[in-house]
Amino acid sequence: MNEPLAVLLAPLLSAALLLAGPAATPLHAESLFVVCQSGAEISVIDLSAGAAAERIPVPKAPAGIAVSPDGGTAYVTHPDAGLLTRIDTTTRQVVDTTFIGGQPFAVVADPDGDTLYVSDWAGDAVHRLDGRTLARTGTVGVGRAPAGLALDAHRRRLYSADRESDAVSVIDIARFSRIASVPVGRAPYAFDVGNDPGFLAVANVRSGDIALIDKADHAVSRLPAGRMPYGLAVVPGTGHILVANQQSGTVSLLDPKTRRETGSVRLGGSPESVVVSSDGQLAYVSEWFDDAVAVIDLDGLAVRARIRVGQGPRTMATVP
Amino acid sequence: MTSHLPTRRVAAALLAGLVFGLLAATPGVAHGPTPQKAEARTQIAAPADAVWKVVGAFGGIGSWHPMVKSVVATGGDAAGAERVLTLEKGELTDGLDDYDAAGRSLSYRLSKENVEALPVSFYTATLTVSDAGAGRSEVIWTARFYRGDTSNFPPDELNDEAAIAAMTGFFETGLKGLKAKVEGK
Repeated sequence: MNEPLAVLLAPLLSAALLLAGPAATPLHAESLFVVCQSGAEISVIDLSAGAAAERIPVPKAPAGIAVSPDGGTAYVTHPDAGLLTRIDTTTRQVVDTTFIGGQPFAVVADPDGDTLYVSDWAGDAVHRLDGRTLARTGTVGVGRAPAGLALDAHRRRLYSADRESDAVSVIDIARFSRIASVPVGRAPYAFDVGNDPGFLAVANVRSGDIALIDKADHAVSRLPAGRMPYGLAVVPGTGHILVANQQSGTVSLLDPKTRRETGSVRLGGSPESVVVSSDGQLAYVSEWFDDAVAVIDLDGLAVRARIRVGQGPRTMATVP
Repeated sequence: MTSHLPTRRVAAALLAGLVFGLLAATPGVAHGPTPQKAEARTQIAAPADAVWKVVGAFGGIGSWHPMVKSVVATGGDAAGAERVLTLEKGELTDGLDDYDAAGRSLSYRLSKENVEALPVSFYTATLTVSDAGAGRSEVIWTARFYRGDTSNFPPDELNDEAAIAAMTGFFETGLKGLKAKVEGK
């Protein structure tokens, strides 16, 4: 299983699906890359058209995704096979797939330079990789089953949601060492993107709540959510937190100031991850069981559309 | 090599002990990174309320599921209730998460795994009864689950395919039993 798999990944489908058009047309509008785990593909949603425009076939069971700071490369993990796939976001083709070992799950790209961080679910570690060569340049031990990762560029901290340890590891990026393990609740899984200067939010799947971690002193306060909260996002402007409650089949909006739910909408099929548009108007929620992405109008929390994607959509990333 | 080789039987016992020790040492392996799905549905020639009366009793699964030998239930039909199912090869414990009598839907999760009884390490499941018109109803049973061995090199009996086959088989057999019971056949 060590040989490169790029040879297996001839992008047969994407070429056939490319829209024919005048050469002068701008290449792509902003899009959403949806990682479809069972379907072994990335479904690409054109956000201006609100439809799935292309599918990029990748090796078996993709899980996590990150986009390089320049937007040109998407990185996709394959935990069951220890693989990392690189995708050229302009041509929408797989560049290569590399064996990096372990159970690579979450991946984040450092906005400062060409560095990736990958959580190793079974290895209880976070690996640092050179973004160009994909060579491992460091490893830091964390708690058990690290699921989500978030990077705070301002403070130069990396956070790991150590699911089976019920804690979040705080990693000093410069020294690449773990400086704290913060108990947050049961089975922390996913973070918001971490752009809020004051706090970081993480969803605790088993305790059914959201932990807000103060970035300065690591103090934790907890907000009740629905059953089995997975993905979450802080809405720009309001600072409210949108969370996908998988077992409740809902997406709810929480106000961290009043500590109350301000609204909730029922979705089908195991809502999983959440991405909010940069203007704070719309949210995209992957519906794992229904092979769809729901588009939600945040003003009034109404489902505006449902976009069919590949099988088993999980994580998502916007690509400029 | 002066010591005697252990007999095959002793070696097997040692191996079994070792394997058990490894499993026992990792109690948190309730989850892996790759969930799978199962879905089964059936149409029943009875009104939805009549079907719900049977399947809506969380602790009553033993009365209609052919693979469930016996059930010990606590907590009734409220969130937090538990049921211990005895299957042919051992016990499983389910915890009730959500109970929606008006919507005729209940959701539960595996709270104590037993890969001998069912080769999955965790599941969440939802069972819903809906009105299919003309006095008929439809039952849909879905689950999200993880293979019995969540490492990257599971043995065949604990891999994704085994988990999907077992979970789907459990649902399909159950719905056949439910249909037979409700329709009185």
